Amino acid sequence: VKAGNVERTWRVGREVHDVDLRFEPSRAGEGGTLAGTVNGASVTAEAARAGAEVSIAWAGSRATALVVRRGETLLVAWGGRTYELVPVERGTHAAGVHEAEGEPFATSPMTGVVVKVHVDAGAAVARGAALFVVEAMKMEYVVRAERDVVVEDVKRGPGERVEVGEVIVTFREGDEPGDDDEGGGGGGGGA
Amino acid sequence: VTFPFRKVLVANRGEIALRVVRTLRTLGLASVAIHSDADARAPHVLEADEAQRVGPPEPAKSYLSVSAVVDAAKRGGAQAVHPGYGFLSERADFARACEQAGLVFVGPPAAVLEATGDKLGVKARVARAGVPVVPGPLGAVAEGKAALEQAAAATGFPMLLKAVGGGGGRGLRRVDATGDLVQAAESARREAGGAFGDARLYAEALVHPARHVEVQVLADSKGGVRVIGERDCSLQRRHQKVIEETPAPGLSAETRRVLHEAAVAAVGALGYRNAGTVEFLVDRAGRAFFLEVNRRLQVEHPVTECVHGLDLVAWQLRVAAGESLPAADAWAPRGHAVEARVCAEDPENGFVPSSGPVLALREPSGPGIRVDSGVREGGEVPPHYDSLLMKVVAHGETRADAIARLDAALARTAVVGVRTNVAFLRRVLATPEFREGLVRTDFLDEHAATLCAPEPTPVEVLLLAAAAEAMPGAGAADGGAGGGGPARARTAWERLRDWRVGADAAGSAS
Repeated sequence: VKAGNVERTWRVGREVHDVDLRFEPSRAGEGGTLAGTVNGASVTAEAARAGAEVSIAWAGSRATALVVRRGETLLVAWGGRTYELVPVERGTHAAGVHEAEGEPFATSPMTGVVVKVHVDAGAAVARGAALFVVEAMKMEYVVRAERDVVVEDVKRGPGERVEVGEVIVTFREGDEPGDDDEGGGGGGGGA
Repeated sequence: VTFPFRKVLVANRGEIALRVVRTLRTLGLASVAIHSDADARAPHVLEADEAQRVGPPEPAKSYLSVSAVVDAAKRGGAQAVHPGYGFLSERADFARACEQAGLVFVGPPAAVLEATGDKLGVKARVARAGVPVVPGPLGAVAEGKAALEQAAAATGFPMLLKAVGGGGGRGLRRVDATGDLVQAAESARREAGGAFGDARLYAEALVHPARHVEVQVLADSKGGVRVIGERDCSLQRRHQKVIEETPAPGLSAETRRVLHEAAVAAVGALGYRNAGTVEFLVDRAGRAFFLEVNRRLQVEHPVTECVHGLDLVAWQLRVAAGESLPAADAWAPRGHAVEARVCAEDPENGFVPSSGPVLALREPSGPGIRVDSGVREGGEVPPHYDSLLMKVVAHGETRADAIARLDAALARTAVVGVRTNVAFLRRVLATPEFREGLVRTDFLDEHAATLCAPEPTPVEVLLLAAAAEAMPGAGAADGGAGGGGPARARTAWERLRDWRVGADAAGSAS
């Protein structure tokens, strides 16, 4: 291991975190010390790594996680949960993250098969109404409108295989009642 | 014991296939796994002595195909078939096809499965034997709005629509108002038709608040019946069990006696054989209502094995081989066991199933911990099947001991690459209601929103990530077993470019 600086801004879900740490290896050659700031607060922690297993000693207790890189994203599995840390530009605000949700379409929440589409092009759909149903792993999942929308197009129909994140229904932009200026409308969402 | 078979086909996948293979090995029996094209390199295939392909990824053309599975047994030279749970396990036509092919079906005889395939018929028969049943019409609901409204008039609201051929929450809907009947029935029929090939529904009153308590039974071919305790499976999300335990907490001696006796009566009324589970609802007053008989091994059978010290799969095989059950006191309970189902799903996003490569995996271990897992690092969670990844079971002297052990085990459980419900399970375990053993079947659906709300990222996670960045790992660990090649090398270089000039000069040899 080598000394170095870890200066990152990570987005985790809807949060954004700034990390500015200096790493100094221990003389024994195994692990070392992280010192600096996390979100502006001073921290010092001991750190070690063996394969995917990374551990730290901080604030009087030890934490051990599995850390894996997937592309630019760091996956940190700790305490029964896997956190996805996506690097973003320094200065990104949490509010900016929300704009990504303002896309005028509803996507499939999972890889599976469309079993039913409840709406047609041109239909006005009230918030909470079912848009379409996807089935995977033998369970049906109903995707509902997160706000009042007007359907522009239906891209996929019953029986078709779809991937997670694939656009199934698009909404007409600017048609939604009460549309505001805060980054356009929201997409479809979970059940 | 001398088995009339030497090689057994395990007609399933995932954790249950692995678990059955391991018992076969301890009994000196050879195993043949089956797999679809999506599972060619799945853990259960690697664990078994041999494997046979049964078809493409779609369950209907592989694990649910009677002819494909029976052909696989013949090709593999098996003399018996263990069906596991789900898939073909309760299908009378499958048991019949096995028997006709000269294969021992490790479960109830085909004739018993045929006579108990209609859940409504079963309900009527056990009711005649004096077993208390859930109120509702003893006939299927005909298609159309009028028939639905008629059924609702008999049960009142809330009402449950259930699949005649079903189980596991599929084809099951709660209906609270007349206006929801048609859409609920339509959706339930579609799901039931797809899952069981039988779209018929029946209606029951919703007994609530209620606990779900089920009794484990074993019945041999000479009329011997044993009750091996009960399990409380009240922690359910949309009728899917999440956490199960034995013994059931807060059950009076009288209610326990009633349940065990009713289970024996149900087994007698149905002429049931092999391992089975008789499910009941228990209301606040301690009154029991028969729900159904599950004619197979249950997902949650390990808690019973831990507390009663037996191998249920071994006894399924022994009973199928004609052996008699031991004395009634052979399997006395000791301590308490709790099981959590670790599933590939995302609680923060409506529990949508998650599929993909398993980049890294850590399964817990330790005193009193048992893990029945169906995944491996570098493997894949395919989108075609049930989302159950592994079951983590904790056994302790007391219920509190078992819960503490389970929570510690879940805290060490790490699955990287697919979303899991592990953090959700830990939050459920921490609720005062669960700690005090007061949970009813509606608990999770009422509290899901608070139990699923995202929590702020702890500082530890950011430090762990920073530590990983400061100490780039070996290729196998960094980028995951599913990655590799140029893409991973490039990201390693990109990471190095982020390091400040001068830092390298100060660093020691790595």
